[in-house]
Amino acid sequence: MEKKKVPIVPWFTFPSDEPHLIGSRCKLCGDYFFPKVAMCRNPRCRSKDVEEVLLSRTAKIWSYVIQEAAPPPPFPARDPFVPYALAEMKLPEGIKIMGMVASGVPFDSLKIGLEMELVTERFYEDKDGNEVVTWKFKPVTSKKRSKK
Amino acid sequence: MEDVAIVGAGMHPWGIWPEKNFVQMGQYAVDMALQDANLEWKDIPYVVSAVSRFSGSMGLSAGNALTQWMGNLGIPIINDWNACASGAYALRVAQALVAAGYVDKVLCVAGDKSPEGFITALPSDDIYDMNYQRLRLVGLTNPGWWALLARRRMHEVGTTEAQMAQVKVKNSKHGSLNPNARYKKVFTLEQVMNSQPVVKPLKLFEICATSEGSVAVIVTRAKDAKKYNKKPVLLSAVSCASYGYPEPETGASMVSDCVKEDTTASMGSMAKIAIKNAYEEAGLGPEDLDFAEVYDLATILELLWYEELGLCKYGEAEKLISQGDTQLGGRIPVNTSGGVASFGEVPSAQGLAQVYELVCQLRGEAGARQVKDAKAGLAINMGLMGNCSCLILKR
Repeated sequence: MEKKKVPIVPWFTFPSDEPHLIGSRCKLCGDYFFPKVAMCRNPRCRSKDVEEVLLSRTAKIWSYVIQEAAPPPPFPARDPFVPYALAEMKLPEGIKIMGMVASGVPFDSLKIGLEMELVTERFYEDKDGNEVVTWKFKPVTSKKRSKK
Repeated sequence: MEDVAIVGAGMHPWGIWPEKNFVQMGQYAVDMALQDANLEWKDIPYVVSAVSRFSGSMGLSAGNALTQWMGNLGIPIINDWNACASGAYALRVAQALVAAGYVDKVLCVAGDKSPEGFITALPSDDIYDMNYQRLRLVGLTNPGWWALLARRRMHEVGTTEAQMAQVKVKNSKHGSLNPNARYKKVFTLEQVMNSQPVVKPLKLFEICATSEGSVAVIVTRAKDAKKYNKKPVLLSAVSCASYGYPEPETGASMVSDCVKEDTTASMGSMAKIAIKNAYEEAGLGPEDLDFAEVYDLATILELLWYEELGLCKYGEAEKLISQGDTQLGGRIPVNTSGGVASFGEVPSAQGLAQVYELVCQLRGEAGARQVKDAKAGLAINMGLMGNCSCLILKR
């Protein structure tokens, strides 16, 4: 039997071939937020007129790191620990969002300014045997870029 | 409002003390501060204590736990948790109580026993507890956040890993001269550069360890201060701040922030607010400082603080460390105590630990690490969830 796939949080479209993070846009001041909000977080606005939006699938690396030592719980570190890259992404909407870099992306291919796209990926297996899925970023392939 | 001064200070050395809990370390620090101010425990009318976050439910009311063992006095006790800035916030509350005339003196105390390894979040089922979720969802550790700043800075101004490592070398030299520091070993550049990577580009000897210790200070009205101590130290500014909006720098306890402009690696909105307010409150500028304690959780942070504080312009911090401007004997010595690099981190107590170094220097009692004729010193600190403090003390 195929394992059931469950999103770790309901913060991205799932299942989806072209996943998006789900955020909010304030219809009064125009600011964007992730995760989504019920009220604008701009202290000089605080409007309740906010709409759910699908955030851009592509963003640029603002900074990135390679985690070489296993983080403590609640991070579900594998044993033995496998180092991962974490990126701070700048979205066209003007917000920054953190995300791990997809498995298999060579660490030395990462650089600030690199365009990445959102993907979802298996993160760990929970105690019920479900495959828990989270959002990650991976470099946009040149083929896709030329399509634009 | 009345001016307020520190008339007593005490510190239990930082280290690993298996035979003591935070209360016993606190008693040591408080007794030292009382003796320094020529006071007895029964003379204390008010306590403001930082929460001892790693010492169980007793630690949540840390000031009450301490007084249970010092001897109950029936006095009001405030316990505050503002992460690494807790000690500085305690001092701000104490200053306000004395300045407003509610009470003539206040004891501030902070201490704890931090567990080894990465500091993590308390358990939470709440998917909007961002300090918990940033660890669970994207694996953002505290050193990971510092490393994001390091990588970005390297990209912006070409900072080298050796320039960052120089900060640790310098602070280890200072720490070797401080009897209260946990680590007294002087590191070479090679030792720092060759230490194992923890979160690239940062290495083991570039990020702080966790530690155990306690510190206490007693404040009174400045006009009464000489009754207690021949060398009182004036609270010239006690500035506290939280995150502003929009935020130029995604906080360590977040997975996202609204950042409209293109920004450079920085310590964020709260640091800019705390620093601006501190200079205004003191009526001083960076050129008036004789030395500073800055929160060097990692080497890169010290470089960023130089610029945030106005000790140099953007892009010049690397020159400051390389030229020796911030070492003892330099133009503006930074982290004369040895910093968190030499102490290790006791989150609740680091704010007051910085104050303790300022008091030692301004009284001319810092021994081998004394800054000549120190008249004014600054301490900057920041903690998770948007807690920042900037203090300026004068002799």
